[in-house]
Amino acid sequence: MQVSWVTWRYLAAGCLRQVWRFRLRSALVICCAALGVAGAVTSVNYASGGRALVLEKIRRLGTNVLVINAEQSRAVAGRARTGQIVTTLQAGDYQALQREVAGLRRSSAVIAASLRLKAGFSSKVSPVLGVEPDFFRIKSWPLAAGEYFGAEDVKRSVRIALLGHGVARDLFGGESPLGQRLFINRVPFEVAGVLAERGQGIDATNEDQQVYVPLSTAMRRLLNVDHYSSILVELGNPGEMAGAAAQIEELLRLRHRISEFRPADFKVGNQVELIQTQLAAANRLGFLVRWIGLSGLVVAGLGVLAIAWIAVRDRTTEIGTRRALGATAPDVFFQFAFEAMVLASIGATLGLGLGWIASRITAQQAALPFIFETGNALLALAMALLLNLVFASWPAIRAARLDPIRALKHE
Amino acid sequence: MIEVSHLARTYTRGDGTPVPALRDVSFTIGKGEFVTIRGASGSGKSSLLNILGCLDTPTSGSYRLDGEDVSGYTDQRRSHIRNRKIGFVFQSFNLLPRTTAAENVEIPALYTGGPVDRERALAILGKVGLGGRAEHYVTELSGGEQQRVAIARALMNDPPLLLADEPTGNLDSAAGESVMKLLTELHREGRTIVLVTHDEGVAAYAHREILIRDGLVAADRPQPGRDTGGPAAAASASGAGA
Repeated sequence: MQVSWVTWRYLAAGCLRQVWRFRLRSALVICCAALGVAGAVTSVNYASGGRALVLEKIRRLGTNVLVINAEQSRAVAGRARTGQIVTTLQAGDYQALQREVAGLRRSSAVIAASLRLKAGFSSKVSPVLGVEPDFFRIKSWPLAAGEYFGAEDVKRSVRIALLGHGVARDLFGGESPLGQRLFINRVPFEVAGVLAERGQGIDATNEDQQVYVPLSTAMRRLLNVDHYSSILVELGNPGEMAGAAAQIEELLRLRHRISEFRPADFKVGNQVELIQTQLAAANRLGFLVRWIGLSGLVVAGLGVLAIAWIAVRDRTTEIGTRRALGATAPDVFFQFAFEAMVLASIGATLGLGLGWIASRITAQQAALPFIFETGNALLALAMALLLNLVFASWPAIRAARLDPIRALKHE
Repeated sequence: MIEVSHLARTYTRGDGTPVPALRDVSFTIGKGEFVTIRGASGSGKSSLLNILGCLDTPTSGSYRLDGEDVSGYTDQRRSHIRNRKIGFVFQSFNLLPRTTAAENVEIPALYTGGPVDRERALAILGKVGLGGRAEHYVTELSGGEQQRVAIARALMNDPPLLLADEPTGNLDSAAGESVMKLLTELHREGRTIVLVTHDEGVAAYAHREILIRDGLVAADRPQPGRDTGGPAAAASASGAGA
């Protein structure tokens, strides 16, 4: 009656011989199990890559940044019009903000306009932003070459410019733009630096296609205006975001004499909201993908089941013979279950490797960061083994329960 | 070696009516005997064979094999009995395809729970005259050779009883004769052989014939036997069994 691994030690060796004996069938089981695991691992890693991308954007933008945009929402002919540029956001507002907003760490006023750039024989229209030095710190945006401009440059309205990566490429090609002359609206500037490549931002603007000049230079020498397009405010603590936003709203309404019942001429944007929407979407995708991965594993398990089932049918006479020669019912169960499990385990492990490769390729194709979630991969492996154990057991039980007399007569 | 008394086996048809296959069968087979059980199809000889081979249990009556009453054994214990005490030889050989002769011979050893003795498998193959074919796939062998592999397999665990079910049924007469000669030789070495057949020519090799008809022993008589010496001579040689 003793049914233990020790008594099956030698039987196990015999089973491995059967794997080779039915090599085509064995290969099919291995493929089935491998594809199940590879599919689950790859899809989960793909979703994780998407999530990591969003998190990376958050890190880049900072979770503690508020943007105050100067824009008027008003009804024209019964329709709401949003986003009209107004000129009411001015130096007094900015100074009040800097003075009064609790927990403010850095800030930068921004003036933006689309202007014509010219360098050598190249020419293009690009957004030009007048910013303060802290702008780049708020955005945690490193330089690819050259130097930032400093507070002194802003004070003296120096005509120097930092180029987005795309602009530098478009205007100067392979040449180094550092120290070169650049005309913005026919005003000569010197290129002081090129910013690192950023790709598409979370708000769909392409920061690489913009030119950055000192705030005062843009306001006085380029545009001759005394208002800002927006103000960026970075807080010391992300927990103060809501409070600070409310405070700014109140302060500016007061300064602009707009009661809380009327539309304001500015908008306090919390970029985190936008990010959180994306993050929620990424998380939903992750959830969906886990279920898809699981169903892939189940389908693979069913494949293993089907092949094991056919194996039992095909080998009925063999089972009868083995029973006549002294195999007990548990021996037959063990034989079939062990055979299937060995194959499924080989397949699942191969699937892990295959999943790694496929994850790399999909990450590259979709321009996502390559993430290999070891925990999830091992979970998929464990799930696959468990499912295959269950699915392989069924035909094995059937094999064990065959009446040896009938099995012997089976043709 | 074998003692059956008042053995009966009744099957139940789908609609519940009982169909008796064996009614009341009693006989004793001594150690070292070579006996054929003969009967037409439907006579109950297959049912008797299944019980003698411990593949089935009787509805009533008792079956003692090698001094042990196995009639009430569970499936598991009967499996162990089959493994150690009975060597099966089938009509259609029942060798595993895509497997070499030696591997087929080793199968009974797999189920003893111990290591497989390949040397022994090769030695037995040598004894049945297939020493050079051990690594051949069974499908490459002729019918007669395949049946000899099956006999070698039956001998792997050195069982006291050899149970052969129409061992020549699928062979031409020359191959059949060589298989019967091999069985006769094994008998001479002292093995107990029970051979089930409907072929009188094959039955003539044995020393005793039990005739089954309608689930009853119709006749139980000695046969001259084609090999030298009767059951007594075989019994005297049993000490020198392989």
